[in-house]
Amino acid sequence: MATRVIVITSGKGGVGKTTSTANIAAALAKFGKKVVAVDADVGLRNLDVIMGLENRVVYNFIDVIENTARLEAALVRDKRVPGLYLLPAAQTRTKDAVNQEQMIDLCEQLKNFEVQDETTGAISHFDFILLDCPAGIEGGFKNAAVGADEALVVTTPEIPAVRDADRIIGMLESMGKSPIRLIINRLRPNMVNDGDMLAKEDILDVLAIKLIGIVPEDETVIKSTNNGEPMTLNVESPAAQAYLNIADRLIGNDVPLMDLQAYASRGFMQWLRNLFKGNKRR
Amino acid sequence: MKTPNFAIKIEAAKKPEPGRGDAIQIHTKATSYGMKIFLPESLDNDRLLDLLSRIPAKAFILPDDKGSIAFDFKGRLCTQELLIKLLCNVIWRKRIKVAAWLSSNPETIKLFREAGLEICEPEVKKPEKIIEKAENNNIDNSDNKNDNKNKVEIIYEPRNLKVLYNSMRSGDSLVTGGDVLLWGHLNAGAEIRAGGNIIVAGKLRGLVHAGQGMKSGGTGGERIFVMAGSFEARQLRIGRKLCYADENTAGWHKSVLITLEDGMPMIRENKFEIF
Repeated sequence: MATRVIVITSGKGGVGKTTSTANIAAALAKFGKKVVAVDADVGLRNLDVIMGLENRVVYNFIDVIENTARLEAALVRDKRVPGLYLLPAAQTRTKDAVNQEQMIDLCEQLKNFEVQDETTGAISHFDFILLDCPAGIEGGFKNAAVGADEALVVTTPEIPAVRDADRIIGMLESMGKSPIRLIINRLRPNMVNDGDMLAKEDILDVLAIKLIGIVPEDETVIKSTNNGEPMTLNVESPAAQAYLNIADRLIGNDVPLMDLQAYASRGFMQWLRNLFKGNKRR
Repeated sequence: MKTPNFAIKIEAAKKPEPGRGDAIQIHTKATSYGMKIFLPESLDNDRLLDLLSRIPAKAFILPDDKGSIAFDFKGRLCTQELLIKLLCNVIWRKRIKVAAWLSSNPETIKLFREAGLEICEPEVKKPEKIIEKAENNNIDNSDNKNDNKNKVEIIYEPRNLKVLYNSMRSGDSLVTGGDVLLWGHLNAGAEIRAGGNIIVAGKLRGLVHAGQGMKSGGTGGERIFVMAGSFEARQLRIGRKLCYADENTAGWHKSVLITLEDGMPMIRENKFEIF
């Protein structure tokens, strides 16, 4: 299987690009794929924190580009799941430290990188290279996107995020990326039912690209982010299941969308239970 | 009006020696309003000015001194310096009456607009409404004197129509001096600025400015329209009129035709009926 290079982008900041990258990468590795998550957000690196690997970062990809470190030295292997690697960004540099030619060269190096299977010892290449893109449409975005073949666009059900996603999709289309697929993050089914939040159909009506998954709003995301453990490593929440499904669809399996209405009703009951607990405490 | 039917070909050799092949020409074209002069993009500014200055003044005089001349810069970036030299050394010196300054380059259009020049093709002087009667040899027309069924009323003809087949996404922009037909949606954050009319076949959510640069009347754009398959834009500009809209505006989410009448926006929902 040829290495698939996928950029995860959004345009707007704070919609969940890095969280999505970490969780999809972990889910793909859990499915037995060899995955490297590249933090392309130079100067504002976060992927290492969300993946819980910040203590093990020694070199970064700028060191690789500038030939001060070898690629295998910069890659951080996640010991919790076989086949999962992180290539961190530099925190002390700016996005000008890298140009598009260097990013293409880095992607080529990653495509040709030989990964040893931890159980069988067999040598193979990465199945997936996931590029975590910085927010914005400037050089940082272009650097991250230039080496990718495919794109995942993350948006939240908010008009500004959808508009920015629309802009990014236009730019990705002009760069020849295909397929470009959409992740709707932080959807609250109850708010959609009440008409207070954009529905899936509203977003798809504007963006007109294929939907690969919907991730419901879930407080587990905050916990896992702060704990540095991708949710998909221990599936205990709707959001984790949603990311697992997205990874499954990326591999090519036909997985139906989650029943968010059922989740909405469970959420409401949970809310009632929490309310009851709160009253008792008082 | 009888329009001239001739073409001037002043050639500029690419090499210093004249008359040796690979010549660049200034083409002219007879139009319904007079004559359009196409300025070649491949010539540098000095060569272009030299070439234009070599055209005799009488070549710019149309028969019976009627009709208009339009200069078309095509995609050339016209600088302020070039414009001033062109005006001083060619236009004013030869007493050329230029009715329109055309270009497809947004920067050039902006410069012309800021200089107060007309950027739309001159309108053909004809009756306000031309009524053409469809001919049908099998029907005795004498019986249909008061019957409008066979009459087709033409109230508008496209000028420099640009047709786009893809939806325009946020950040996409189109600036043109003529008309625009967008066969798709105009998403929020995208914009079309046209000297002429704008038709968005899909959902109109972005910004449209029809009749940009129009000078007619107090507000301008009385003869300009915007048509949308579904009107969902919060702001709309026609001529010099800025209009706001929301969910309570007539025609919201509907197929509409928007014009200016007596300086006020007029929204007509498309309620096509078959008689």
